[in-house]
Amino acid sequence: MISQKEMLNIICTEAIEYGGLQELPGQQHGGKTSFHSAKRESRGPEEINGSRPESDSSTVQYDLRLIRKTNGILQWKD
Amino acid sequence: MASYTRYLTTTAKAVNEFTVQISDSSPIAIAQDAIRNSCEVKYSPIMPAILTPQEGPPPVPTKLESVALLFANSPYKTLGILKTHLFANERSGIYFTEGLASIIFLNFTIKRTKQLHKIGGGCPLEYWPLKDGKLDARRIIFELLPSKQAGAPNDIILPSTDNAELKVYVEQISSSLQSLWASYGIYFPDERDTLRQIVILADNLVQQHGRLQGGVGRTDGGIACQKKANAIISALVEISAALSYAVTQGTTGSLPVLSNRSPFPHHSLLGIGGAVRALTKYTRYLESAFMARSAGKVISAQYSRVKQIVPASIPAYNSGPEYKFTDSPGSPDEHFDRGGNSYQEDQVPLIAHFSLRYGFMESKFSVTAASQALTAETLPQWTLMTLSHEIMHSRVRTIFQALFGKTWEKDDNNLISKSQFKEFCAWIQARKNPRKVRVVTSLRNVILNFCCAVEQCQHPIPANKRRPGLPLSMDKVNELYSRHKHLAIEILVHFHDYYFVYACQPKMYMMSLWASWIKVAAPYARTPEYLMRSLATVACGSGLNSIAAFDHAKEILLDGLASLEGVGIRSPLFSELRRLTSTVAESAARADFQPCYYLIDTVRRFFASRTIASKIDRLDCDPFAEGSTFVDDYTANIYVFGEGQTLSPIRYSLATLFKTLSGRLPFDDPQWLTAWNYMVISS
Repeated sequence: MISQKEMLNIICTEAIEYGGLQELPGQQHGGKTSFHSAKRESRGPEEINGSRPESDSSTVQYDLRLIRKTNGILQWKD
Repeated sequence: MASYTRYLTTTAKAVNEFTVQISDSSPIAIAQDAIRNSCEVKYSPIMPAILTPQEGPPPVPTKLESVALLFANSPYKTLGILKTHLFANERSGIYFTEGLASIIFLNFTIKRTKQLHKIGGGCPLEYWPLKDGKLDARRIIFELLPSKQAGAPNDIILPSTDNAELKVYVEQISSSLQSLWASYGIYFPDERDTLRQIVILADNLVQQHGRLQGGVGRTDGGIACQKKANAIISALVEISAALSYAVTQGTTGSLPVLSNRSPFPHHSLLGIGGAVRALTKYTRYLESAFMARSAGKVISAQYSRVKQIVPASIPAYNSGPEYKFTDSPGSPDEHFDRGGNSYQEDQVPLIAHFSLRYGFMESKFSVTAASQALTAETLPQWTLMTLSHEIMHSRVRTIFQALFGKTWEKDDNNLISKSQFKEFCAWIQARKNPRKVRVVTSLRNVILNFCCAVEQCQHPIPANKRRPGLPLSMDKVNELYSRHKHLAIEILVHFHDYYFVYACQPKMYMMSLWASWIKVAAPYARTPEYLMRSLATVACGSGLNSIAAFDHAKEILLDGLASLEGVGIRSPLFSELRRLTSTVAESAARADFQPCYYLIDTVRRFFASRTIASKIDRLDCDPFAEGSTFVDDYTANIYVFGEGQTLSPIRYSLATLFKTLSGRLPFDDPQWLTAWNYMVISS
């Protein structure tokens, strides 16, 4: 499904995302030890591509919030 | 219940002397005997091929006089031809296997073997004449076919390099390629095309590595260059590893059988080459269908030009008209199918193999099935249908590459570029009055919006606490994308699997998912995530707002769970799923559901393709419908053999899975049924 050209570019993208680490075994691609590969750790933090901001940049106000009402019910507000 | 599976065992007694036995004892007993006697034993399961309804398996032969091994590449078809030429007393001596030696005759003379071999169309043959159950390896008769290759191939030029580090990998890859080239020439000729593509890829990587070398020494950008060079090395390592698996799993068990040993100890005699061929055919079938329209080409040529209004407000999301998956004339065309030819000219095929460690998994270059599926593919947790999900990961890689990917030509070290961030900001700010935006931008924004929403999901705000929205910088959006894109990827994969492979059949899909997920660890560890993945998938295309869509999906879930329990498939997880979708806990499930439904339904709008769907022969009617006999038309009756018709591996595997889920398997011998399924698919 992946063409030759796409494959080369995917490898380039992964170089930027994962710093050149192997995808397999799962633990080496930024994943955590588990029975499944890193890609299935879909809720886990991404540790390779750090989250520390390097620069002050413009921001956008993201108004979507999940509200917990006093009766415990969760509701999206935008 | 009688066991149908038999085991063919060889025990080395001297350099050229082996004892050959057939038994119906368990493989554990065989291993125990070997330990007790301190001898080298090799064995493989073999299955009686010709069964009679209501009669049980044929008896185990009490005496072995010969073993003939036929290396038929399409054993299901070959057996169909042979069956009509067999005498009644010969039928119980015909077996099939999961190895490259796919058909076995027990106790046939060499003369009769050669007759049948010729009738079956000819294939490599190995004949073991036995005396008192003993084989003198020097007396084995071999027949190889003359090579059909006219002259040497001129399109295979192995990569070369002067770089000492690369040389290590290039040598490994070249060595695997030459082994596979020789083996595929005999046992799997179609797969030589895969090797051609791997050669091109390996050469491209070596060339690209060479171009990076100038940049590595720079003080500015040197590290970025080195990371890219490392990524190329990593890719070469992974290709080399995948090819090694292809060699060890796909070529062992070739002629002469006694001179090699399969890496799977429970298939040490004959190997698993036939089962690997089945995995590969299954994979190629889906890959071939998706060649009809390249996602990358549609996104870059059409979606970068066409503008559409795509909603940004997740709580207000409404799906629009209900989506009907029909092929009737006049049914609406899809966005994805517009814009002329987007045929994919080439591809790097996935190398398919089994893996105990990875189970069902996909990586850039390979796709694996759980090794347990060699023994018990008929159990829901190891059904081949799970493989389709993994193969769809490959398709979704191309979508993410087209939307977010980098190229070697441009220097950009952020996952989300500045211009992409600005487009996202403008789109979010205009959500109350949405305007038409290029589809490529909209799709990117929808995924980023999803990632931001999932982050909010994890941090609900008490209603009495006044808090403005989250200020998102470019760095923060990069972080959230990086953190949550894996979930977005899974959701896109679910859509592709559900739409293209399961023909949008909600109950079948729901039952299939949960019958397999209750047997693996992750859904127990992260139940809410798996719950909302399953709910969002079957809700997609429902044409409902988020609240009604959740109710609709929940109903399918509960119905599916009850049906599974009805056939004895139970799990404590089912109670947990019911708890999570009822009472107070339900509001959390609804909250999790909404961003997923928003994402998958938008993906459905732009990636549904009737052109591709028409290339995949599936079960497109509900097999659970009352009175349906639909499945019976598409499973191979184990008492007859195909007569030349072509079976879709997808339709066949789905029908088999349905039989499992509805408790309609013909008998309780997973190994026999598993080998049968592989034999049919591999043919």
